[in-house]
Amino acid sequence: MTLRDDELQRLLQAALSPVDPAAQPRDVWVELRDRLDSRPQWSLVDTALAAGILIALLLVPEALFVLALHL
Amino acid sequence: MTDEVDEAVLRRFVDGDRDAFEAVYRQHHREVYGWILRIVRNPAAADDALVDAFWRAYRSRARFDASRSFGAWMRRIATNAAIDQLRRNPLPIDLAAQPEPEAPPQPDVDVQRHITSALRSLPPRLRIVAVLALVEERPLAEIADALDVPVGTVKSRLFRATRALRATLARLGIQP
Repeated sequence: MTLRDDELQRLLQAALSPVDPAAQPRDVWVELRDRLDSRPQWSLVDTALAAGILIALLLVPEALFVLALHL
Repeated sequence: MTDEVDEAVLRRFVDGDRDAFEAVYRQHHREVYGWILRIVRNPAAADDALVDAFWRAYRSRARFDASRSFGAWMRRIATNAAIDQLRRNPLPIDLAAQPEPEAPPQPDVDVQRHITSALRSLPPRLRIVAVLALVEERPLAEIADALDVPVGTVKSRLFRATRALRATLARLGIQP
C-alpha cells in the first residue's frame, strides 16, 4: 500500500516549518554591491594553465599557430 | 511580482546604471526573498541566494528586455539561484515546531525527520517542484514559469518526486 497524494501532501506540510513569504529580508544591498565591485580571483588553475601554455610556446614556438587557431 | 519600476529605470539598469539597479533591487527584493524562502525554507540560506540572484541579474542584464516583465525574469533567476543553494547546502530545511526538550519524545518527530530526509534525498529539480506544488500549493503554471519549462515538465517532475517520496517513505515504514 502506498501513500495517497493528499496523505503525502498532508505529511509534507506537517513536517516542514511554514515560512512567511512576506517576511522582511535582511538588507543585502551593501553585500551585493561589494560582490559586484570585487575583482575576479586569479585561481591556481588559471595560473597553471597560463604557465603550461607559456612553457609549451617556449619549447615549441610553432605551437603558436595551433594556439591561434583555437582563439 | 509587481512591476512598479518604470521602464526608463529598467533601461538604465540594462545599461549598467548602479543607481537604477539599486532602485530595482529596493523594489523587488522582498518578493524575490519571499519566493526564494519558499524554496530553500531557511532564512540564512535565502539571504545568500538573494545576493546571488541579484548579482546574476546584474551580470546578465544585457539579456533582459526592458519592455517585458522584470518580475517574471527575476523570478526565473531567483529560482535558479535557489536551486544552486539547495545543491550547495542540501540541509537547510527546518523541521516543524518541535516539542519542548524535557517533554517525552513523540512518534511524530521521527516521522517528520523521515519525511524531511526523504525530501532532502530528492534531486533539487524534483525537490523544488515537490515543495512548491505540495507544500506551498503554488499553481503548476506559476512553477513552470519560474523554472522556465512547460507545464507538462512540471507535471512529470511532480509525478517522479511523489513516486520517489512514496518509495522512500514506504521503505521507512510510513504508510497509511
